[in-house]
This record gives sequence, C-alpha cells and structure tokens, in this order.
Amino acid sequence: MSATGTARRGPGWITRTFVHGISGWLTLLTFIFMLAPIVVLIAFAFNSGRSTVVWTGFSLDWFAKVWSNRHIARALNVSLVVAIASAAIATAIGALAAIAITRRQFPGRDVLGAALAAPLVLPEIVLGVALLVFMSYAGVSLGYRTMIVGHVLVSVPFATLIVRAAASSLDPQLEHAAADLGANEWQTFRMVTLPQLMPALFTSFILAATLSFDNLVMSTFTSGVGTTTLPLRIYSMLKLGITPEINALGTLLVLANVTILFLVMGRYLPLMLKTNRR
Amino acid sequence: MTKSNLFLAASAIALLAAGPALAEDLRIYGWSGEMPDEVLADFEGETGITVTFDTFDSNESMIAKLDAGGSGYDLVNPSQYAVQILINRGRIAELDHSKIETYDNIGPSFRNVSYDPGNRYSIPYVWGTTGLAYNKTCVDAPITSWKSLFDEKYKGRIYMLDNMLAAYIAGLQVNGFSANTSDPAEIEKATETLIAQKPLLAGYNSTNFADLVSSGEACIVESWSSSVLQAIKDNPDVVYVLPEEGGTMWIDGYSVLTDAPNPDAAYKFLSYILRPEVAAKTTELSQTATVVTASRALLPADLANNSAVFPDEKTIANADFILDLGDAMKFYQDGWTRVKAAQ
Repeated sequence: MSATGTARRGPGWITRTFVHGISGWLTLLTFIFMLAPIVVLIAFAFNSGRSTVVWTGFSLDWFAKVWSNRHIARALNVSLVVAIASAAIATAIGALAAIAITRRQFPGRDVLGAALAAPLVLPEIVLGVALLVFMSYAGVSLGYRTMIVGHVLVSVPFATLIVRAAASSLDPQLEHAAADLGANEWQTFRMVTLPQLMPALFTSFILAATLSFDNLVMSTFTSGVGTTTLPLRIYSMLKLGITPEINALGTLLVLANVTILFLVMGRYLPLMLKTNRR
Repeated sequence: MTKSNLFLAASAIALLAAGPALAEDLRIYGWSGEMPDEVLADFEGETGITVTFDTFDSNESMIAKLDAGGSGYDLVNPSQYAVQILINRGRIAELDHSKIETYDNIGPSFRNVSYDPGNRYSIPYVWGTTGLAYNKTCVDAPITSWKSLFDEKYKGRIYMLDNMLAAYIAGLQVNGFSANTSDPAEIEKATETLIAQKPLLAGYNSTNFADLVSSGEACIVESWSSSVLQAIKDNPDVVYVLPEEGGTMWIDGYSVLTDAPNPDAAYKFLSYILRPEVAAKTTELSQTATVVTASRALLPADLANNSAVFPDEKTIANADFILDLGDAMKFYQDGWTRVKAAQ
C-alpha cells in the first residue's frame, strides 16, 4: 500500500488511500451505481416466485416462459431485422457523407455537415411525430419501411461522426500514391480508402444497430402492423406489472450486449495496441 | 404496350382479389396480457386465419397511431373513454351485430354501456375495477375508504397509481365528487388534495405496486384489480377492495376499424371470443373477468368466487365510469402537472 516500503503504516496512509486515490474510488462507486441495478435484475430473473422484490427460490421457469412466448420471439425477430437493416443503411450513408465532407470541396459542405448532425440535437419525439405525420400525408403505410427510415434518421448522425473522425485522420498521400500507380477513383476507394476505414465502419454499424435495437420513441411512432419491436413489447407488458419474465428477458439482452461488446473489443484491442506501438 | 399494361393490371387485380382467399390475415392492435396467446392460437387453428397481435402501452398512443390513418389494423382494443374518442374521429365502424353469432352471450349489464349505448361501435370484452389494495399485517381494521390513502398513519408506505386519470379517481371521490367530473372547481379541489397527499406518499407507481404491497414494503396502494390478483393468490394477507366512495370500473372492448382490410375475419374473431368456453379460458389465463356471463360457471370455484375479479352487483353499480372528458381534460392535465411538480 505504501510506496515507501516501511512495515509500519505511515501517518499519511488515510490521505494516500482515500484522498490521492479519490479518482479510483469514484470510478468504483460509479461502476457500482451503474451495475448494481443490473445485478439485481439478473438475480430476480431466477426467482421462482412472481415477485421482483421478494426472493422465494431458484428456478429457470421464467426463461422457459420467455422462450415459449411467441410474441417475444416475433418481437425479437422484428428488432433484429430493423437493427441490421437500419444500421447497414445508416453506415453506408454516414460513410459516403463523411468521405464527401472530409475529402471533397463543394458548395454547402459545412451546411451538409451540420444538417447531418441535426437529428442529434432535435428531440427524438419531435422527429418521431414529424415522421408519422409525414408518412400518413404521403400515404405510406406504417411497417418495416417506415421504422427502418426512422431508425436510420436516429443513427445517421452517429455513423457520420464516427466515420468522419476516421476519414479525417487518413493520410491523403496514400490515395495520391494509388492514383500515381494508375488506380482509377473507384479502385482507389475500394482498395485503399475503404480498407483503412473498415474499423470505423464496423464501429459505426455496431453502434447504429445497438441504437436501433434499444429504440423506443421512434419505434412508437413508426411501427405498423406486425412490427412491434422488443422494447415496444416490453413497455406494453409493464401495464400488468413487472414480472420476472421481464427480468429474464432483460438478462438475455444483457448477455447478448455483453457478447457484442466482447466481439468489438476482441476486434479492437489488437488494433489499438498496434496503433499505440507505432 | 397498352395491351400488356392492361394485362399486368388485370393480373395484379386478380392477385389482390385472390390474396385474402388463399391466406386470411387478421391484424389486432391491443393491450398486452388481456388476450392470452392460447386463445389466439386456438382461433388460428380453428379458422386458419393468421393473427398478428401488436400491443400498445396506452390508449393515448394507440389513438395517435390510428389517427394518422391507414394503420392497416382490423380490430382495435380501446378502453371505454377511448371508444368515444375513436367514434368522434370516425376511426371505428358501426358494427353489424348480425355477423356476430354469439352476440347474445354478452351479459345484460354490458349491453347498454354509457359510452356506447347498444354496443353500436364496440363489443365490450374484459373488465375490471380501480380501487385499493392493502396488506392486512400493517392495518388495525379493514380498509374501506379512499381516506386511508390520505392518512398520516401510513406515511411513507402509500403508493398511488402513476396515471393521471387513475390518481384523480381517488382525489375526486375522497372529496365526494364523481370521478368523471368536468367541473373545473371540483378538479381544482382534487388537485389540492393530491398535492397535500404528496408528503405521505412513498411514490407513484403503476408497475410493481402489487409486489410492494405483498412484501409489506407498501401498506396501502391505489390499484387496478387485475394487477393484484396474482399477489393475492400468492399472499393471503393482500386484500383488494373497492372503496365505499365507489372506485371506478373499466372495460376494454373490441372495435372494427373503418378502414379494416379484413372486417370479415374481425367478425369471426368477435364471434369466437364471445363463446363461454373461450371467455372462461381468457379469464383463467389473464385473471380478468369477461362480459360473457355464462363463462363464470365454467371457471374453477376459487376464481369464480373471487370478489376481486367479480365484485357483487351492488359494488359495480356504485362504481364510476371514466368517460371521455372532452375539453375538461385540460384542467386535469394542468392539475396533474402541478401535482407531479409539487414537493
């Protein structure tokens, strides 16, 4: 504990552990504050009773119930389809916009940059209502299409920001070199720029997919027949009170998210280490 | 050119016409947990109609969605006051009772509900009450009145429903007013009562209050009947009562949308769920009473005699019905904002 190496605790050990170590303690407290509710949620998913407050015994019944609930399976399916589709579209749009903004000179470049970030500062509920009104005015029936459009709208600013940051740190010399060696614009993009942006595209896709998967507000306004997402389903289930079924579902979602997190970290840690070495 | 276009159009029309005959679909927009999966699955098995059941979290968000038009649903599952709003906005169609074979199974007291006399626009289905639940171990005498929710004695162990109209039921009725008032002065008085109550509350809660009262953490809670039934089953100390001031009754029914793509399937579904055995199954699985009187005889005795599920006629007659309050709604909303903001 003490850096001086004396066996006896020096008079300043309290200061050293608690005052100098304050950032460490604060970090620990923050983690406890953030994770404790999730730990409780997971614990009560294994409760044999119907309560989420009183522990009555261990059981896996609630997981079985989640498994056999056809509404949940269907909602999960809808959520995944929308998340993957909207993340792919948002990443594509974000990447192209980011490259255009960082690499090209054209009138209205700054305006485009700002406009793409606008959904970030607009309240999502405003966007949702606007989209609902617009869709009904345009005669588009609500469903996958409207929901994917809505989710793309929510996640495009994030995708753009991520890819923009990566694109602006790219070395333009590499592209010039490719051009010197006879590559046309498309070849340069495909073989030089794109591979360098791959980590950013991957991050942006995962982030956009996560945002879409968790989304409640935009989904409320843009979902249609047969497209109730998982968050919408869970929210409507709350009317009958919280049962451990919701905890079990939450546990499965936490598990899925942690898996994705490790996947991303597994992909990124080596990359980050490599960058640092250079 | 024109010929091939015509041919295309003709085949498209033929396809559209043939579509429903090949695979029939029924799209329902309803409350979660009130229509058991098993009933839907049985209906699909019997009729071959594929049911899509989407859920909403409140009447208000459901109305907003339907208001946009072209929702694509056949049936919607509004509560009583939402039926009035949907009728006013022309979203639900007048029903053809001759297409509902089992219409006569609806109990007489549900034939002439005030929000839709003669069930012209909606078929009532499940119903329940809003009253209070308490834990026997923390009270000296049985609770019979809303007044207990405003009693110093239970300070810090009272929860109110986190729902504007529900909270006002207690606030209004404890003052001797109707829960359905549109008088600004009465609403104002109720607002003051609710603000004065706030220091006594442990919180507003409409999700796990049944759990809290069962564990004894809460002593008295304002409650929906359907939400506490499971807690009562698990813990005999939990009691649900309709207060002597009346409490309220709610009905969630089914209406056919004006732009329903497949109204025939909707009528088939209505005919199906009004069968006594189907209604009994619904009550058993969702722990909620239905309007089908004959279904009660098919239920297990403990459920059929459960006064929280089936309060007696006199208690029901005493209960208020929350209806569409129209312009008075803004007084409630203003008051509720003040209640929520108060310390």
